[in-house]
Amino acid sequence: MEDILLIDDDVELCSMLTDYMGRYEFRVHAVHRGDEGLKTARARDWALILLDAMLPGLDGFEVLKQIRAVSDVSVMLLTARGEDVDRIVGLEIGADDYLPKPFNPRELLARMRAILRRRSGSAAKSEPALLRVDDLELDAAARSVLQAGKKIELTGVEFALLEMLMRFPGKVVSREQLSESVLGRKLDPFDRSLDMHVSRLRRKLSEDGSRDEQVKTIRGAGYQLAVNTARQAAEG
Amino acid sequence: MRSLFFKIFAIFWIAQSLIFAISTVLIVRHHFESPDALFDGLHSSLENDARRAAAAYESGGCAAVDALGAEIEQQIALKDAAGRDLCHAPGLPLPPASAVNPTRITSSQAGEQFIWRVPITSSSGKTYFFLLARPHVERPHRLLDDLVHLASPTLPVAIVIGGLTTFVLVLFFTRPIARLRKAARELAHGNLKARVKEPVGRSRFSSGDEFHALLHDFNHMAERLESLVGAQQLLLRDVSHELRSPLARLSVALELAREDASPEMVTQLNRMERETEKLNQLIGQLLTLSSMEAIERIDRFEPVSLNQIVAQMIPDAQYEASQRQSSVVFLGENDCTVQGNRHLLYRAIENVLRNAIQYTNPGTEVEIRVAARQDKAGRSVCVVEVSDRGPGIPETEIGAIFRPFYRVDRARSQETGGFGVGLAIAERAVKLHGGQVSGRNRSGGGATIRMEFPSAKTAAGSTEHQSE
Repeated sequence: MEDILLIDDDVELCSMLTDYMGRYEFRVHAVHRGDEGLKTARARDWALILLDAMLPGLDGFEVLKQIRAVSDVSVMLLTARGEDVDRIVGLEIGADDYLPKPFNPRELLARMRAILRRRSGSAAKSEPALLRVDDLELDAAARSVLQAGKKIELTGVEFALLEMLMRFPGKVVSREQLSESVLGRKLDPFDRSLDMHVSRLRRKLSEDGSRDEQVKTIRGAGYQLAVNTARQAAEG
Repeated sequence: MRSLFFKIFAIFWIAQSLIFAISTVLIVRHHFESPDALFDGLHSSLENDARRAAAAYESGGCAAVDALGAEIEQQIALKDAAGRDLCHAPGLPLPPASAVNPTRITSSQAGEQFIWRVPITSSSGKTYFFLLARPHVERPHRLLDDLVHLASPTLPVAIVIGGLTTFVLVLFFTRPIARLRKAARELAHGNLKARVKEPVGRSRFSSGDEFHALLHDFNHMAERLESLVGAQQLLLRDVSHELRSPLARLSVALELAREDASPEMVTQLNRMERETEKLNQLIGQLLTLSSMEAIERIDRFEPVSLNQIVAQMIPDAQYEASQRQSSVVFLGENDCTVQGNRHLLYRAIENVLRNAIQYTNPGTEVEIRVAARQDKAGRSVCVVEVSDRGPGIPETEIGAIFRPFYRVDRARSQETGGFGVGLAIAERAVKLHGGQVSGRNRSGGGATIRMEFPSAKTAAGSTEHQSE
């Protein structure tokens, strides 16, 4: 049983979702106000938080911002269909994924599972658990990332993204590939969420401002993790 | 100076009166000099000639008088005080000798000639009569000369004054009409914010007439139109928003029901789910449309390759077409890049393409063509043409296909599952990129939707223009 926090003001929808997800080994705890939701989110560890963007008490984005200030818990944002801005803002603030409302509950379930799978890590896979590129060190088993020995806090998506890029250092990883392995779905040309996650990751990796951008955008192809030698060659 | 009626009336009245007054003044000044002055000049000239003739006679006899006659090119004669002929030019008919008043200059007509009779006293004190004849020349009457002569002050005055006043009058008519026309045209092109600029604080002369009232009414109408359309859009958006919550609950309830359902109910539940999904899509499209109508212009432009976009959507389109036993052919003539929003461009082209796939007959091809062309004004444009082999568009309704919820054939769209919103979204997206979209029927059946975007270079110019 995974514990899920559902923050949505639609009481009836919450009760139905609680019923529905209960059948799939998810224990849903529903809260209907933003401020209460934030309190509950901080009160304990959750496997996943489902957060509606429009909430009474405290706006969904504000809740997300305050959650992110203290925790890297996976958050899935439920946005209003047709409001592209909501989606982009949500991903910028640090949502792991989003789903436009109204959604098909089966899709919600699939997305939740994808996020949780990422969380639980690739330990079971045959790939090496410890990856090292330049001064970056990623431990897939411990789910930790060190940059020059300093710990960097990454959300689940960002971690999976970096892991994927570090598996192919200096090589271009296509957006399609990243979308399928990191977000667990086919690349949708409308969907800018991958780019949003990359830009957040990029920001976190160059927080001290002194270093070059390690994650490069290759226009029309994908993303690339620059390795030191390649960077030197580019500079020389 | 309020009403237009009064303006026209006043201007014409002033024009007529001015023409009459100025012409009269000019005619009077020009033609009616004092008659005395005229005669004085004539008399002094005649007396001068007479004096010279008398002097010539006294010094050189008739030969000298004849010489004078030759010199002044007149037939002249000289008589003494008693009326006897002294010298007489040949051919000069003599007037009857009945001198009414021998001391005055008199004239008389003899046959074809005027004869002036001038009494003169020479320097030696003798009195003579000097006779001078002018042939009576019949001046030919020429119509044009007479017209010019008679019309000379009136006509130019009428032309100038009439021209000036008519010019002013025409200004009163055309300036507000031109403004009105510009605004009406903008309004017709869908810019509901278009208004006629009302002359504020300008001369009191132009404010308050019928045109001014018309401009005011037009603006009022445009405002009303804008608020009505705005309210309609808002209603559409709000309704769509409000429909989302029950739909979300319905989806979950359906899923719950499906899990509890007996096998024979699954078919019905599947059908319900399909319809729910359709409703869902419709709401999504409506919200897209209304949010696009709310955008005035795109704020972030980036160069976007149309070929790349089309190539990206081909696999999905191909799959969709294969479901209907048709196929999609991509004819990329040459690479074409426009300035715009990738997302919106994708959406526009995809909607048109999917629409074509829905309408094309089974077993036929949908063609999508990307080409760089020159438009009528010589600017380079990117053209995307999507052609199908479907039923085509009734000629009378070609302009209507981009209206939301317009469908050529209601029965058919039931089967294809469209809502008639796709083309409206496409049109809006194309317009936001400064492009145009049009539809036409193909020879051999089917329809072609043509989208025209300003190409990257041209668009860069227009972007600068927009940001001004």
